[in-house]
Amino acid sequence: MRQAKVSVSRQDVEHQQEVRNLVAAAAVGDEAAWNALVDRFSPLVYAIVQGFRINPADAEDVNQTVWLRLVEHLGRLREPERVGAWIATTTRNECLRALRLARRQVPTEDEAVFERADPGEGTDRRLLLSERDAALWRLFETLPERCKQLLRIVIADPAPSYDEVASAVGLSVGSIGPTRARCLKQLRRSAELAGIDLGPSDSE
Amino acid sequence: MDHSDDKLIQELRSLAARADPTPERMLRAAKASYAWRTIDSELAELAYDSAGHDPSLAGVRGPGTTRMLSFAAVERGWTIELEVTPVADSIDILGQLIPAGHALLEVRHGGGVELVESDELGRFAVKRVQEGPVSIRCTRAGDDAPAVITDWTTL
Repeated sequence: MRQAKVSVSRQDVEHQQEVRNLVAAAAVGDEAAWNALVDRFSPLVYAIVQGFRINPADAEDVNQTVWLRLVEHLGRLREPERVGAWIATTTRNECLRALRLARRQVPTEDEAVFERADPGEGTDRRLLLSERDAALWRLFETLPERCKQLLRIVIADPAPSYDEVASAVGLSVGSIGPTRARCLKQLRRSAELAGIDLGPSDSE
Repeated sequence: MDHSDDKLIQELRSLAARADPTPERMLRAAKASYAWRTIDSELAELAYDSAGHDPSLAGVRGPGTTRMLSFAAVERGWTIELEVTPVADSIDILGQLIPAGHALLEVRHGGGVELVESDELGRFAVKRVQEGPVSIRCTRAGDDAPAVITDWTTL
């Protein structure tokens, strides 16, 4: 089994330098740098929120809170190159808080509460997928919660670092690789049962 | 790492981007957050939240339950305590500044900004605030020091 990657590649160093520069620029008023941070890390935030199965109204609050809080923390981050991990941790904590409060899951007749919900955007999109892709995505969604949560974050685009994934799921960096491998194995097994071809596995 | 695992991850990444992309409205909200940036203020970080995820803090939750939060501006030595009560689709906030005293408070939230003043005992109240992220900006009467702002928190 593969060992967790501890050494840092040249690519990681460049990535960290770039992110550190964006944080520094955004901290002193560079809105383009802020927008670049949002573009880069929003998919990570969304993947974490989706992994926790937060309802759409709470998901928007979590998203907004994470970014608003980051605005005020930009110049105060101890490790600006790890802003992705900061975002992941903050998003995770906000999701757990939202689940604990679960305020909006109480039935209400107030229209305003529903107005903010996503109007079935996802459902429409799925009609555009090929039959095979739609089947694979349905299969993905039937994975056990822990696997689905981890993999949903791993497959965010751009790909999060192991550090960011670990922060998002509350596991150590070292356990991400093995857990990921186990979850993919499970997906392969379900795909085989469902008759979906995922291509050959090296371990076979 | 299995080469085939990497290929499968890539395939799933491409699929997720099509099946469940990041909603545009979340991107827009994230970008718009930048307009709330404050310059030269001191942060009062969330130090306690009765709705925190630490199981030892868990109690009975639900509508009508009061939530307690505490924010600490360590350098300044200020604490801002909030008591938050859900009322229908909004929230009522009772606040306490420590040390006590007159202050001007800007309650910043999704619906805008509300101005309130604390009394000489440091108490303040805001009614029917929109649910969602809230941050309070606090300046003391006759004080030239930078404002203190609380961490944005979903209330």
